This record gives sequence, C-alpha cells and structure tokens, in this order.
Amino acid sequence: MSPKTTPPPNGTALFFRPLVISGMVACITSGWVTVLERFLPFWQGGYLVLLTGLVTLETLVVDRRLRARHVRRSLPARLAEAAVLLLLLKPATYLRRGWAVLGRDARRWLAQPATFLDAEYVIGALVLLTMWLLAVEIAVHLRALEDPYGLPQDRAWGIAALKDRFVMGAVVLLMAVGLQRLEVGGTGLALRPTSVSGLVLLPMLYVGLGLLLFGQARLAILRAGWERNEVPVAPELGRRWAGWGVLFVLGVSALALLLPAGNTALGLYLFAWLALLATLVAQVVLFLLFALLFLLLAPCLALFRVSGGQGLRPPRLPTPPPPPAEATGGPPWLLYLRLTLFWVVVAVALFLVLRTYWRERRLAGGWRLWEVLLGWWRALRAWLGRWRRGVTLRRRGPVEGEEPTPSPSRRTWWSRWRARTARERVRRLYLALLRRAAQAGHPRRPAETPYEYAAGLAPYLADEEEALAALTRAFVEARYSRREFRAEEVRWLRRLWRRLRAALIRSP
Amino acid sequence: MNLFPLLLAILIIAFFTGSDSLFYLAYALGGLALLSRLWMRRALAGLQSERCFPRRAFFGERVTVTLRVANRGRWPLLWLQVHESLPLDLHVPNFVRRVVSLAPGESTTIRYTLSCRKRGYYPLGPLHLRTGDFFGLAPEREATVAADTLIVYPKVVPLRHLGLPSQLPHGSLASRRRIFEDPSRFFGVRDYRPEDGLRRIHWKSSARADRLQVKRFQPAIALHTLVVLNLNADAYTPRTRLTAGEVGITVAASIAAHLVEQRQEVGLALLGGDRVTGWAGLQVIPPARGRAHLVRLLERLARAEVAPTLPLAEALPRTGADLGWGSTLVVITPGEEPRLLEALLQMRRQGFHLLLVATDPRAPFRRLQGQLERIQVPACWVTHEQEMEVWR
Repeated sequence: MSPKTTPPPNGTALFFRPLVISGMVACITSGWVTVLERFLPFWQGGYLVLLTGLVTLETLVVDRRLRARHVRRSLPARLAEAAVLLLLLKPATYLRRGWAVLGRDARRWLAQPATFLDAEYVIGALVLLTMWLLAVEIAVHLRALEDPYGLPQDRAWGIAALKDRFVMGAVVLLMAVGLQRLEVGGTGLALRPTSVSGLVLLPMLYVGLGLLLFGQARLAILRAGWERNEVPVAPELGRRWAGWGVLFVLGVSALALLLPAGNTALGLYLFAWLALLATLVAQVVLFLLFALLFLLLAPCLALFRVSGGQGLRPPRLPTPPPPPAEATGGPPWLLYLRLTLFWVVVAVALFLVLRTYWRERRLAGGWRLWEVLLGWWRALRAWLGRWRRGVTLRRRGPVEGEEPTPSPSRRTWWSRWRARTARERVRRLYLALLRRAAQAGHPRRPAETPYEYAAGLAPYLADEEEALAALTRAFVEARYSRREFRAEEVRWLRRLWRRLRAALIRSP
Repeated sequence: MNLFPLLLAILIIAFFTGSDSLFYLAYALGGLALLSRLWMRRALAGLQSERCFPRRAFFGERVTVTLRVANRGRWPLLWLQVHESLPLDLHVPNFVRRVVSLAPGESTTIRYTLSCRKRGYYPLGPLHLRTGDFFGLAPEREATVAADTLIVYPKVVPLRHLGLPSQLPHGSLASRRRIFEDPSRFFGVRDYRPEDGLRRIHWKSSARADRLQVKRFQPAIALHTLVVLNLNADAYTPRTRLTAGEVGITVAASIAAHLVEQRQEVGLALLGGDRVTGWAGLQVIPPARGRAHLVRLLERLARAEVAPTLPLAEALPRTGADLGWGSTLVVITPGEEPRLLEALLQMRRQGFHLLLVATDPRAPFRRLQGQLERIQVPACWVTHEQEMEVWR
C-alpha cells in the first residue's frame, strides 16, 4: 500500500459515526427546542430535532464518501450546502401550519421579500446552522484521527478538539435542561423537581452517544496505527466495536438509572458550612481591606472637606436630533424593476447553489448514495421487525397442537432459566416422556391431545398406566392452569417418569 | 482518558444542585470507568493459545504453522493484537501480526508458512498479546506466551560413492583393548567426562566417591565410522567462518545419512558450540545404526555452531578413545592447523583409517594434501556442496 493513499472507509466509519454525531446534535437541539418552546409560546420547533439529525447525517455521509474519493470540499460547496439547508428549513416550518398557508405566504414573499425572514424561521435557522456547524466540526476532528500518516500532534489536537466540542455540547445541553427546570413564580425563581423522564434521559443519551463517539475516536487512532504498521485487521472489528460499544454503554446507563438520585441533604449541609466559613473569611478580608483604604484615603477626604467643594454632577447629554422623514418612493415602475432585479439575482444565486449542491452529491454517488441510505434504513427496519416478531412469539408461547420438543443442543439460556420453575420442570418431564416414547416407536400425532395419547400409549407400558395418567394430568395442569407445584410433587413426578422410562425400554 | 476529574466535578455539582441528570451522569461515568478496569483486569485471564506444527523439518521444506488463539474467559476481547516473533532465517519479515476480535468462547486461527532455508534450532515466538477497552479508560493489558522450538535439520546431499577407506567386514571380536563397549559386560567405573551420557552414571559409586562416576563395560571390537567435525572458531578465518562451517555441517550430515542408509554404524564427534545450551567443547555421540540414531545426529548438527574451543589436534586423540582398531575417522576441518598432522599420524599409527575433508576455500589445500599423502591419509577439498558431486 502506498503511504499516500487513504484506505476506503468501512461501514462503521461511513454510517455509524455520522449516526452517533447526528444523535448528539439532535439531543442538544431537542433540549433547546423545548426551552424555546417554553419561553416563546408562538414558536413550535419539534420538527427541528428530526431535521437537524437528518441533515447532519446526510452531510456527514456525503462528506465521508467524497473524502474516500479524494474530493476536497471547498468553501463555496459548504456555503451552497448551508444555503440548501436553509431553503429546506422554510417548507419545514409549514409542516404544522399546512401547505395552503405556505402557498399564500409564498405570494407575499414575492411582493415583500423581507417577510421571508419571519421570527420562527430565523430562530429555526440559527438553531439548525449552529448544530450543523457543530456536527461538521466534530466530523472534521474525528477524521483527523483516522489519517494513518498524520502527525502525532495532529492526533492530539484532534482528540483535544473532540473533547472540547463534547464538553461544550454537554454544557449547552445542561443549560437547556436547567432552564427547563426553572420556574418563574410570584416568589421569584425556583427549580422544579424532576423524575426519571426525558429531561433526565436527554443528557444521559447525549453522554452515551458521546462515549460511543470517543470509542470510535479510539478505534480510529488504533486503526490508523495498525494501517501505518501494515497490521491486518479482522474485518468484523468495526462492526463489533460499534455493537458491543452500544451494549456496553446501554448496560451501564441502565444500571445507573436504577441507583437513587437527587438526595442532596448532605450536600446542602456541607454547602451551609462551607458558605458560613466563606462568609467569615470574606468579612475578615473586607475589614482589613476597608481599614487599609481608610488609612490611605483619610488625608484626601480631609482635603475635600476643607475645600468645601460641591459634589460632582454628571454632564448633560445632548438630545439626539429627530430622525429624518422617510423619503417618498419613486414611480411604481421603479419599484417593480427593483423587485424584478432582486428576484433575478435570487434565482441566479439559487441556481448556482443548487447546482453546486447536486454536483457534490453526484460525485459522492448520486442516487446510489440515497439507495445505500435507503437500503440501510430498510435493513434496520427488517431487523427490528424480526426482533419484534421474536419477542411476540416468545411472549405468546407455542401454538396449541404444535408442542415443541426442544433438543438439548437448541436450548437457550432463556429456556434453561425457565426450567427453574416447578411448572416448567413438570412440563419438561412430560416432553421427555414424549421423546422417549417417540424413540420407542410410539410418537404423538400432532392432532392428539395428551389424554388421547396417554390412552394409546398405556397398552405398551405394562403396569404403569397409573403413572402415565398421573404424569399426563400433571402436565395438563402445568400447561393449561395456574396451579403451582410443590417441590415434593415434582420429585414424585420425576420418580414416575423414571418408572415410565424403564417401562418404555422394556416395552416390545 | 482520565475520567476522575470530570466525575468529581459532576458529583460535586450534582450534590449541590440535586440534579437527577447529573447524578445519573456521574453514576454512568463511574460505572463505565469501573467496568472498564474490571474488564481489562480479567480480559486476558481466559486467553489460550497453541501452535500446531511439525517440530522437526528438513532443509528446504516449507512448514505451515497454525497458531490458534481462543478466548475461554467470560469477557469479550474487543481487540486483540497478536504479534508472533519469528526467526528471520525462516520468515520475512521476522514476525506475524494480526488484530482480531474475540467473543467469549470464540477462537481465531492464524496460519503462516516458514521456509526452512537454513538449518538450526529456532524459537517460534514468543507470542505477544495486547488488548484494551473501548475508550482507553483502563490501561492496556499485555501478555506473553513462551516460544516453541523448531529444528531444521542440516542439508543432506545423497551420496552413492563416498569411497571411505574403511571397507573391512563387519563384526565383533573379543579384545583386551578398550575399544568399543558392550553394555552387557559391566566391569567397573571411571570418572565422569562431559561427553558421557546420564544413563552411564553409576549413582551409588558416585555417592561413595563424592564425585560422578560412570559405568565401564567390557570392550569388543566393532568397525565403525566416526565423523569428526571441527567447528572451533580459531580454525576458521573470519571471512569463511559462516560458509565453511555450514559446508562442514552439510558434509557431516550427508556422510552420516549415507552410512546409516548403508546400515553401518556411525558416530559424531563435534568440536564446537551448542546453540541451545551455549556449551562449547567436544561432544561425542557413540556410533550406532538406525534411523533414530541418524535423527539424533542430525538434531545435534542442527544445533551446532562455530565457537571458540580447544584445538582439533588436542581433541582428536580423545575422539578415538572408544573406537575399535580399524575404525574410520572422517575428519572435517576448514584446513591446515598447527600440530594437526602429528595428531593424525598418531591416530593412523593407532590403527584408524582416516579421511580428511577440508572446507575452507581459502585454505592452502594442495600443500596440506601433499603432507597428508606422506602419512597416507587421503584428503578431499569440499568448499561447496556441488563439490560433493564426486561422491554421488
């Protein structure tokens, strides 16, 4: 491998890292959108969370693909991307108000372009652009770590910058969370109590995603070192790093949520003592300071008292002149000309922006990129669907008449865990009887009920009809009733099963 | 990454503000740090590795080594850097490296091929293992697995017409001279010498005499060949030490293999160093026949190296101490040496058949050959294996 070539990004680098960064950005956006919605009742920005996440994801994926194809992104390209994002934001603000309003307002923009920038749009644009820039910055720093031939100081800079952005994001998010708890009442400012809710989970989610990002940063550094030293790396490493990292962080976070929080009585006690101590120290320091000042300024004060001078008065500020009257507009054709000129310039700028935007996407793979993203989304949905079906089946249990006979090799930890209950042990004893009987040439037909099967099997079990009947009855109760079995009963049934097994071996 | 300051700051702020978010954050971060340390502490505990390969190989053979690394522990190994050190004579570069990921109970197999281009006694390994956690919260863990050894036998050139001077009929004769010992006829003990095997030590006599004693057996005459290989560093010039030494070892191995193939008894007297033990001196492997004996000789030759030791002229009389009258000594030496002719003459007078093989291309062989002809010792000059064509 030539030292100048950059290896193509793997799936984890291409999708997982942008997904994590987008998630972090969406967390911060979510926090601030909630705050803004609380303090600005006219503003609704729930759509911004999704929009911010999606646009940053798209930007970062495109960025990675372009880098892989050695296409450097210029400033105009970035500006074009930002402009397209701002354009996309405008229709998004009308999701709540409806498209009819959008059409009506669009006509108004033609006549009065300034109305395009209403307060809702400006706030949304500020939030979107800030988050987009933050995501791009994080991605740039993360990418600096992936260069196998980068200098060590570049990697150190990349890590430090990542930490800075992460901490900055965390502070911004915590500020938002704190503002949400702020209560403005008649008695002044107060903090609302919180429970385990979205308010608490949002910083947890952000930090969890941040940790995953740092995990990816570590992988990037390690991988760069391995590539530099030409050490072959197992292809599944990236996938496992992502998967195990998610499990690890989720597990620890879930455990953390089980612990108690919020009891700060000791903290307040300590705080009171610390405050008292600090007040005492401050009083002593102030006393010393004032004493010193008094000693220094005493001669000057005496001098002023002797002169009997009047106190200094602030100078009067001159009143500002009244604003000039607005100039009257020219003839109406001049207004139309200016409007036309304005929209032509806007149209040309839009065309250039869109062309730049589209050219970059085409370089990054064009529709294929979207197909990849769509395929990824479909695969995720299919996996979730399979998982949901599996959970449903497990909860619902097997269908009547299709009694499964799990072989020991196919037993899962769940089935082993379930076997700890007495009911399950009884059920398993009966299933073991079925297996043995099938091996002895007396299989149960799918349509047979347990009692029908027992009646058919009894002639082959000499003198053990009662044991067979008892085990069958116990199975039916264990399977279809809520009866709980005692340990002695299970032991007795086990003895019955052994007798039946011996009888089956003896049977012709 | 040190999380402690951040954790402490979050905890303090959480304590004074009573914020649930900060408490949970602190718990999560603390849990991550603790779990990472615990994980790393136990990560390598369940790691097992083994190398599967033939322990012996012939010159020119290609040996495939299968290195199996298994995680028998309960903790996954997110990444594991495997670094197997290898001898440069067998593998270029002198290592095999991989980065793998092992779930609990999972194993991975790394295969590499060694080209046995040079005889020797090679260590395969040690195997260095290194692993770490997701975030670098805990220090990386390392482990080292000891090396295994691979013996590459010296090159054996097939010889058909060696033409050794000893062409006497085989057999054993009763003799009063202590020439070759019959282990069924024990007749006393003597002091231990380094070339004696441990099996010959008489422990009771050693205890009584307070020094090691070895058993002596009644001698019998048998016709054998002893290959005497001189790897004394002083006998070689610095420029030809490596090549002439290797040619000598090849000649010794080829002659031994040829004689074993001819069902004759052959021994080895090696005057040089042992690469494994580091010991240098004279080591004699008594003559015997059979494939197992040949393997023993080849293994010893594989471990041999040029090292400073006593001169051949001094060692030569000791090599023939246990040989019978009429036995053959093939003396492989780089070339002329002080007092070598006298030693050879003495051996000749004791009734040994002698053949001298010179291996140093810079040695004044013609002059040596002339001197040897005068004492009726044949000599040949083999400085490269292709010059052994005369014996094929």
